[in-house]
Amino acid sequence: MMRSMRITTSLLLLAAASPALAAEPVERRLHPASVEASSFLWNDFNKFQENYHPNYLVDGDPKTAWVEGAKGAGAGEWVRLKLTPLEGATNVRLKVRNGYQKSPGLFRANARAKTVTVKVLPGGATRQVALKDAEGWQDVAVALPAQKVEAIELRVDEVYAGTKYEDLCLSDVQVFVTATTRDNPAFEKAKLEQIQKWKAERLAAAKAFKGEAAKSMPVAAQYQRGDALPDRGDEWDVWGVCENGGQLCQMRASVERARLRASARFHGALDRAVAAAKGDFAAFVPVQLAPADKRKVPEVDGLCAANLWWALEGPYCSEGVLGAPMDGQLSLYRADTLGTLEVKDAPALADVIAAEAPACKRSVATNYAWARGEKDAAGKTIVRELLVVRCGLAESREGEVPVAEPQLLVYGDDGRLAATAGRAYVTLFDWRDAPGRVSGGETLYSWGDTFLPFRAFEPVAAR
Amino acid sequence: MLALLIGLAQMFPGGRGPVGVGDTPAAMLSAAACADCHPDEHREWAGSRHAQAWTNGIFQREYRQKPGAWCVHCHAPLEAQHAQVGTGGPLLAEGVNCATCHVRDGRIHARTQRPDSPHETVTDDAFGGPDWCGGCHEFTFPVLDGRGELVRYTPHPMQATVAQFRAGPHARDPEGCRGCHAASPGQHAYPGAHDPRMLLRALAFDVCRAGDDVVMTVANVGAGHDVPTGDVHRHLLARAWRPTAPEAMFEAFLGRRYAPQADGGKRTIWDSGLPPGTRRTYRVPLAQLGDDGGPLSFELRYVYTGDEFPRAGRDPGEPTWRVVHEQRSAAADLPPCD
Repeated sequence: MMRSMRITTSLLLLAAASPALAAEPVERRLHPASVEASSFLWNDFNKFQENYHPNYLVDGDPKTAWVEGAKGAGAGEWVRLKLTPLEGATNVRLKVRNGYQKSPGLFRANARAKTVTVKVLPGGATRQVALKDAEGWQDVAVALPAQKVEAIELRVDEVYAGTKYEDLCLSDVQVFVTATTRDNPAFEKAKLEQIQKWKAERLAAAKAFKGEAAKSMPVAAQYQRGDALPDRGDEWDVWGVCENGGQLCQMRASVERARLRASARFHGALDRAVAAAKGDFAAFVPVQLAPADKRKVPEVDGLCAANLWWALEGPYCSEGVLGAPMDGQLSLYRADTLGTLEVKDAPALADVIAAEAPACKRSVATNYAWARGEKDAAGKTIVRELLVVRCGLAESREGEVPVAEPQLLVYGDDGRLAATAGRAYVTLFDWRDAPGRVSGGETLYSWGDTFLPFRAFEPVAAR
Repeated sequence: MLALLIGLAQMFPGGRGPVGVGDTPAAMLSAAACADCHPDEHREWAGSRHAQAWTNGIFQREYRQKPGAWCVHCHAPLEAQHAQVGTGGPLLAEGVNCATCHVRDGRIHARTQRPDSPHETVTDDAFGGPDWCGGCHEFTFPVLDGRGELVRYTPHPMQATVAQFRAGPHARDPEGCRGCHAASPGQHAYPGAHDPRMLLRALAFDVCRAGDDVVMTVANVGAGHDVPTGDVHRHLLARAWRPTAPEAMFEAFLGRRYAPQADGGKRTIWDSGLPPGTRRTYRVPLAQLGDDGGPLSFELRYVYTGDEFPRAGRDPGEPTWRVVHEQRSAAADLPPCD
């Protein structure tokens, strides 16, 4: 399957905001936080992007590779490695592992690059270089008049044909740039760790979806953001709205804002979320969650679960869309699989939100829950809205801190999860295109008032 | 000249509440009122961290996320500033201003009174001494309620800069904290960790080679208190790396870690900060840093926040770190360790 790849690199933007002092030119290695490509192969062998994705160019592992996904042998395909912006760059050196170097057999079976054009962005300087048809590392260098470097693009011009497959492969690329901007090794190291974490999550997802278990997974293999909807033009951010407020005030502000911006099909769920928040959850009763299925939903690409860490620094996903159910709990996707037991001696919601309940002082996080239910035709109580507050000790750089992170979940008439809301996000879930799985939706990031659609992608049949 | 009429505890309630100025005309509360007759002092104050106590990006970032009333008691201490917290206002934006220390009950408080002063002035030799600074720079971990207001203080120090000073070699300096922090011509710049000159004065950083190892030494050679001190998030990072192998970087953390207490508040459980006159040494095998033979880089970095590289939405709009010392050298060119 062919598709264009675009992943945001928030860390890069932050690096640009850090103090940068002039220094003598020095060659340093740069680790991209992610890699874009014109295409990559996506089939049943890498349903969860456990290989072939352009990010595997920079994981340092010859057993993985970027495998292009276009028709033909790969001429014209490209990858773009976004880098920490550097000033005064005078040389770019690349170390390349050509082809698929998992084994000598696979190296020969797949296509390798014969000539590539290296383009230095944003200036656009180019140099065509020849690559050897050999395993191992080979060096490519591009000398430059001093200029800014933000990305390196490699475009494949000619290939060595594979003996079995048409697909063009590159196993690894390392980037070294000689420039004057201050070296920031911890930042580069963090980006490599981000790639490694992403890779580990992809492998975990592949394992979790293996076999029969995958059939009951309520999520697809991957989600992708669409373009942000236009700003409304009015200044708004959740922190300003809730000056001296708390997490529940911010949650209420977020759902009210989402109600103004979301597509009409989500208004019903949002009206109930607004009503619950405005009523301070007074109609909710404390419950204990008793899920029949205690599995966790893996971190699939493009969708990330709320977690306790968000309480320390605010809701955040390095990639993807905020707001999957708390801590990846599978049971929270469907009210009909979500068992609840009413609790008599529950701590007050205010104490839990303030992380003052006894369980909030423990290393193992605890979920407190409050629910509002309605009886169905058979007299069975079905959860309509659920407020989950996860609390416990979170590890910060300075030590463990008791924190609490709330999430409101709203269920549709069919019992499927319709919306989640936290203190700076609202996510609305569509199930209409893929019964049994979230097919997409919309999400609000309260800071900056960004509103994004997102949708599921599925790999096609194996080659 | 009036004798000292009120105690220090009344001047600074130690974070238990706002600073009350009693029966003071509102016109005396803004720093603007002082500028005409005290231009040097005002100019220095205006560029100081005191003047940015409320507006600085690092504080505002934390306060917006967790707007605790207790924080306001030292970041905008005057009662009249507290009244502007919800709406904003010019007095609030002055942070720790002249009146915070100098005005009570319509009178000026100072160490001395100028002969030509028109003010009704209360003089006190201890004014501006460590106890004064301790009004906001010395306190224990608090237990806060849901609004972030103080319920009680624990016995465990949270910021102990004055106690550190009193245990250090400068404790008998008659100028006290002012000896270093009010040494500017106008005596009101109060530079601290955000001033690179103060960091250079406080910290020494040496690198040498011992066989197949490099040895980094960090020393507090100039500060009269621990470094880092003050805010709990501050820390130092001593780093060694080859620019061509950042993933193999060695990093030493000098700072504090905390643990919540069963009865509320927190306690410091680990502290690798540098008391006055102390040093810490780190020995790093060269092979650990990658073996391509390229130059080595060394750096001592002061980080003001828990997050050195703030992520999206968390950028405070001011530097979160500052490089104090840096050095680049081939391993062969490093001086041998004695």
